[in-house]
Formats: sequence, C-alpha cells, structure tokens
Amino acid sequence: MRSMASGVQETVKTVTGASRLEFIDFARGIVMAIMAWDHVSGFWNQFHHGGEGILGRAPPFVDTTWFLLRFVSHYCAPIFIFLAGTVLAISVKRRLEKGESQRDVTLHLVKRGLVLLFFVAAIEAPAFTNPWTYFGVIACIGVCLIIFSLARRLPTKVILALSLVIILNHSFLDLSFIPTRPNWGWYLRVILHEPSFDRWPYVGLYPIIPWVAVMGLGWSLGNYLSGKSTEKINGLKRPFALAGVASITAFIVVRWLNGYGNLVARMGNTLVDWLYVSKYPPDLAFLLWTLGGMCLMLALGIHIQGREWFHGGLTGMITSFGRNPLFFYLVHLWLYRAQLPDFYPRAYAPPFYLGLPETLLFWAVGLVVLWRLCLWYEKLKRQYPKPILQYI
Amino acid sequence: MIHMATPISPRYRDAAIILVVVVAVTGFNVWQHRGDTPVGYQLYSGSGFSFIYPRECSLREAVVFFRLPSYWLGDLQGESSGEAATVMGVVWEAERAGGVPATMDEIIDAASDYYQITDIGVDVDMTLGGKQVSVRGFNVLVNEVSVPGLMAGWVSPEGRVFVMYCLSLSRGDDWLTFQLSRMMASLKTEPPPQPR
Repeated sequence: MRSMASGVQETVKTVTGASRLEFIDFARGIVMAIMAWDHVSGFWNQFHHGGEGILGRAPPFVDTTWFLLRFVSHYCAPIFIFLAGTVLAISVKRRLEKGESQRDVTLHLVKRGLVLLFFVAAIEAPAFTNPWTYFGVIACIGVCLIIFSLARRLPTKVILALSLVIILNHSFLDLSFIPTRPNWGWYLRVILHEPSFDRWPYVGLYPIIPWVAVMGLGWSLGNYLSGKSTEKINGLKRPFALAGVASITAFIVVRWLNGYGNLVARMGNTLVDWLYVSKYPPDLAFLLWTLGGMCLMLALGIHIQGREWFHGGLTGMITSFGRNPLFFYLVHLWLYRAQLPDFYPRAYAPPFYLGLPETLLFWAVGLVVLWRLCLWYEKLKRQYPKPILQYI
Repeated sequence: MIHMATPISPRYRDAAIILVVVVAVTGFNVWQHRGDTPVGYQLYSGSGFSFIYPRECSLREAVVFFRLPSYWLGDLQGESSGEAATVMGVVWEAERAGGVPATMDEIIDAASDYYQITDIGVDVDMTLGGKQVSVRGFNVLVNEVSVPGLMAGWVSPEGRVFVMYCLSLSRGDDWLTFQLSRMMASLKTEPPPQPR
C-alpha cells in the first residue's frame, strides 16, 4: 500500500507540473468516482434510474434511499462540463504562450471535439446500449469544444455574460419552429434543447444550449485563474466557499418560490419534493445546487492540496481520476457494464440484479482497478507524449 | 470647489455591465412568459374550462362517438405509447344527485364494458393542486397486465363536476398523483355562456 502511495506521489510530481491547480483535479476526481457509482448502479440495480425532468416527466423512485443514491450523482455532469471549460481555458492559454498559432489551437480543438464524437459512437453509446446517434455528455462536450474553437476569440466578459443569460433564460426557449416530423428536425431539437428518448434512434440527454453555457462559466473561471500566483489561488478558498453557500441558498429560495427556475415543480414538502429537480434539461435549481456543491469542493481542494498526505491514500486516488477524466470515463463504462455489446440495442438488461451492498462492493473494487489503470495510463502518456493519446 | 469623482475600477465596471445585461434580459423574459404553459405540458382550452396535460398524450375530444363536448357535458382523453404508456383524461358534467362519487361510478361502469376494473378503492377527500377533491384508486386489467390508475373529482363554482383520471403502465402512484395534482392545479373554469 505504501509503495502504491509513493507511486502516486511520483506520478503527480512529474505529470501535473502546475501543482497549484490540483484542487481542480480533486473536485473532478470526486465527481468521477460519484459518476462511477451512478453507472454501476444503473447497470446492475433494479431500482436505480434516471430521466429526471425529461420534458417535465418525473419517474418515481421506490423510496427516499434510492432517490438519494441517484440524486448524489447530479453533481457529475455540471462539474464535469464546467471544469472541462476551466481546463480548456488554461490549456488554450498555455498553448498560445508556448508559441502555437491561433489556427493550430483552433484545429486542435476541432479535432479533439471530433475525436470525442467518435468515442461516443464507438465506446459510450454501445456501453449504454444506445444507438451511435445517442447525444450524451461526451457528445455534448465534443460539440462544445468545436464551438469554443471559435467562441474562445470572444472577450471573457462577453462569454461570461452570454453564459449567464443562457443559463437563466434557456427554459423560455421555444424550438417549435423546427418541424419534428422529418427525423432531422426532431434530432436537431433533441441536440439543441429538448432531451428525449421518444424517437429511436434520435435520442439524447445533454442538449447543447444549456450545457455550452455551463462550459462558458468554467471557461471564464479558467481565464480568471490563468496567471494567478499560488498565494492568490490559495486566497480563493473563502470566495469559493461563500459562492457555494450563496448558490445553495439561492437553490432553496428558487425551490421555495416554486416558479421560475423549476422545470419540475415542487409538489410537496418532503425531502424528495424539494430535491426532485430537472436534470434533462438542467433547470436553474439543478445548476444552483450542483455548481454550489462544486464551489465547496473547490474550496475544500484548495484547503487540503498543500497537505503532506494529499498525494497519497484516498485523495491521491481521487486526483488521479481527475487528471485522466476521459480515460476514466471510457474505461469505467465497460468495466462496470461487464458484458459484451448488445447486438439489438434497447434490449439491455443485466443477466441478474445485484443488491445494494454487492453493488457498493463492486463500485469500490472497480475504483481501485480504475486507479491503477489511470496511473498506468499516465505513465504511458509520459512515454508517448505526442500521438493520439493527447486527445484522451 | 471642484469635486473629484472616484474612478471606478474597470473590473467593477465590467461586472456591473454584465449584471445589468443579465438581469434585464432575464427580467424581461420572466415577465413576458409569466402565464406560459410549463415545459412538457400542453394547454387545452374549450367548453368553458382550461387545463394543462402531459404533452406526450395527444388529447382528443368526444370519446363517446358522435357526441360533441359542450359546456355542461363532455369528455377528453389522451394517450402515449411505449414502456411508460399513459392514459389521461377528463370527464365533466352538470352536478347531479350523488355528486362526484356518482360521476366516478359512471366512468368506471362505462370502462367496465371493455376492461376488467379491479381494486377499486374508497374515495378519499384531500387537497390536490390547491383544490378540495375526492380521489379514488383503481386498476385496469389490459391483456392480463394490471395497470394502476387514479381519478380525482372536483365540483366547480358554476356547478359542474370535473373528474380527471390518469393511468400509467409503469410509473406508479407517485407519478399519477403528481400529474393529477398538476392538472387539477391548472384547471380554470369560466361562467356558463348562458343560464342553464
């Protein structure tokens, strides 16, 4: 165990370089681990399901425990996409500082977006027994990268203002002018703003319009962080914590008022009623809760990133996930699915269902395997820094 | 005496501009859309009342052949298909002896001509969607599959009984209550066009 920890420490020292931003890897690592829970439970538990808020629908959960076991995973997509924007801004700035031309940076982002779309068709969609046309979180990030290959030329304050306007107003968007009868029209609406599984194979859950704004907020943070000294970054602990508390307080106010900002209305006063928010598409209440939580995670990450034990043990494992998010994502799906691809999509069902304790055990063992794989992958990237691996 | 204005930092000025733009756009939209139908629902309006219903259920009039809905009598029903197939509808008529339970009995009797209705529960008075209603649970046997349903009845101020019902293949009681509650909350009636 000791050698494992020292191995991680060594990896961190040599791979991350900019150690002051490890709090971002920490926050991202936490949500990767939570996301793994969501997926292993989705694959193997009878009572785990998603779909909260698809066009106002609200599927029931068998009890509060199963609801909370799903609810905790709400942090994943917003934080994943937000921090993708943050890291993107920092990485673009570094590339330009290294002397890469604007054209090369644009091309790199477009290629990276296309590679993500390929991964969706080849790896992500089959893992969920979805058609290759499935517009999931990776496809959404891929398209957002392509958008940002051009949008990055806008001033940060414009991107920030547009992102806030989109997040606060996307629920008013009416796409009814796009016809739904030709399939392309339907699919376009799914991709833009109307998540749906109603017309196979034109299905998707992560429409671009609200999510590109979440990435835009992350991009704005990344530009703000770029060039900041370690002392200044450490000084952000309190602002992040305050932003987190303010955001969660705003969530409570929005749910209490039960009007604007709620795509799924609060139908009562139970815990489930208060927390049952729309993820597909993400309403304001959902984003206030999850991004508020992210701010608290970032504050915690800044608080502990300088500690001696940070690079070992559990925190070391978590940051290794956060350093390799795409690799983790692609591998964990098939590791937890643990079945061959289905030749008849939509017929997915596990050969048997697991109970809650067995699923938790499967999740924990899988995380250890994924940790070792992430370390191995980092080593591989160091050995072969130039080829396709840079896109994963 | 010359008053020297304190220069505003560009950072604060930019933040203020962003704030004003975002608040103005959002405020305008909230005001402009204050009476809109919620996302995922459609609005029915006719026969002196209106209500919202899940948009995947394509609602149609006159379940009883040849009968056109009027202010004092009518019914509407909509269905969706798939794994979570849903049926929802509303029946209205002038209040008569027996009140809401009589109208509910009539609906169940009519449906029994085509399906076996089982597990008919007792009427429970409760507040649903801000209205005082009677709620009754039941199951419908369709091709040997038992489909749970709920109906809720309410008497409007002008003396009409409205019974809304909802059945779903896989979504369970919570969802049915949720939808009925939403539909009931949105139900608005108008005075009759002419005295009865």
